[in-house]
Amino acid sequence: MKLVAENIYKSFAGRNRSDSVTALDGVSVAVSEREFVCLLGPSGCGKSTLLHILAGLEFPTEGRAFYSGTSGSLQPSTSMVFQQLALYPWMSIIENVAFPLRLAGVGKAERRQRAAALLTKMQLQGFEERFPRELSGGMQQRVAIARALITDPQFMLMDEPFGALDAQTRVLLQEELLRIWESIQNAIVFVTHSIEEALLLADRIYIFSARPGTIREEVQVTLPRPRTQSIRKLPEFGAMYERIWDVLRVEVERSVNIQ
Amino acid sequence: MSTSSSIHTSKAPADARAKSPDAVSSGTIPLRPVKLPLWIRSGTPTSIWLKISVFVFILAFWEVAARLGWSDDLWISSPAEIWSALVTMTMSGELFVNVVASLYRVGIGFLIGAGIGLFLGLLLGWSKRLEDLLLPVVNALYPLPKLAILPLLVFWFGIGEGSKVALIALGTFFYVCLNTFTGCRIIEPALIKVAAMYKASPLQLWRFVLLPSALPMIMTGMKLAAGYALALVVAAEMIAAQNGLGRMVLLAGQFLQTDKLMAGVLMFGALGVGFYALIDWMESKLAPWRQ
Repeated sequence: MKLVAENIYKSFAGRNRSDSVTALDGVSVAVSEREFVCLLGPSGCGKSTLLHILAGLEFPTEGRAFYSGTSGSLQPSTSMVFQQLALYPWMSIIENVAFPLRLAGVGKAERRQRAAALLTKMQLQGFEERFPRELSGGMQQRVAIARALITDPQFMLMDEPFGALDAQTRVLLQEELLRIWESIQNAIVFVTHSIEEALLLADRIYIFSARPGTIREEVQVTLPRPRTQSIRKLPEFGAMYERIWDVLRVEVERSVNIQ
Repeated sequence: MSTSSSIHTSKAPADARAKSPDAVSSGTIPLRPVKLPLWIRSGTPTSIWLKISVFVFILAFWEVAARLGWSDDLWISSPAEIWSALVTMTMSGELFVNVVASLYRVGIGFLIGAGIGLFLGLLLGWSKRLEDLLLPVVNALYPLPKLAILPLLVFWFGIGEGSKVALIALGTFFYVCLNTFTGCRIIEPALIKVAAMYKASPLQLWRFVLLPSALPMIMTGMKLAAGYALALVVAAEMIAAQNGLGRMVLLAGQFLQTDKLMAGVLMFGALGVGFYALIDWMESKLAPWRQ
């Protein structure tokens, strides 16, 4: 089964007809089961918009997004980790994590038990009854990931989830995400503007152009797994970094000139 | 000051001093600390005793001034006179009857008005279509002076309790409705998207997302409404009533009973404070995540 976006064209209406903005211009991506894919590009290139289209939260102006190779008519489950985390301030940590189950009508005892197990896995045990604002940014991020994982999604979409964290916390969470992904093996589509992050995490990287977004290049990351931060020391890492930066640099310069 | 400047000079690396032509050991300029305007937001909390003593001082000055004959009893009563009027009215049961009458009107009117306001506010916040259709109507009616409608309300609901309760309900309604609506509108869109991704039903969205998100604004609306409801009950009771604190204050004025009049006003103040505290307490129970 694959999650596919085909020839996506997306424009946003401006105040007048003339100043409508084209965010995506003929973008196609496909994500297989158990694959870790990064969408890498300069800010404002439309990679977040594509992610929202894959989530079904936005609709393409032209083109289509769909699941291919599905068996039966059951809708595959997709979840999303938002850039702003979007934790509910009025729910305790465990209520936040269990919220998707609550909406699905899962009984209180079962959903609490499943949420508690996941929180333990995310090293958040003991914080179940706290409110989000009582937790640090890194811990809130883990809660948001736990909430996305609770429905056992086949596809997990992540919109620059570590963008707001300090560099050290970011490193820890990247490794933790890898550890979890290796244990559950669902597909992840991860939006980032950091080459290092993309190289550390992904099997495959789509490099976006500046706005209007198109795919400049698709890179297969051949670095060995399981990975930790120490893969930075591999000569292949440096080589791939240079190669991607050569492509990206032009686009970043263009996007700076657009804004 | 002198210590800090000496630290700066002594900690400067010797090689840097040697290399840089500007840093020759000629003179030192002391670091001048920036004076922060601390009176804007002083770090030290003001003592509770100091705050109380302001009240005590004003009351004492007031009492002394009255005893010394600086003011006429008719113009303004002394604190002791107001106190004794309060005691007398409490003993005779007069105060109780009137407080209960006013509280009843405010309470029932507030419950009706806040209930309808809450319901309609959430409805408008929930559906953009309903907002487009109904919000202009609410906005058109909102600026009408409520007291001017009292005679009309008397036609509709009679001269008795009905018209007064309706007046207070009407005043309360607008504050709660418009604040609830705003509370629904200022929600972070991602919070709605999360619920939508997991296929929340309209009812679930309303119960788990919109209502709790709007709660702080709802409470603000209720506090504003509480003050307004008290003002309206005074006016309504002065215009047409057999009892109530407003009526009592009006009569006291007509009979030149300044102490009784001021005691009545004081009671209104106490009711307002109590009303406010009640809503604050409700908020702390309903929205524990905000503490």
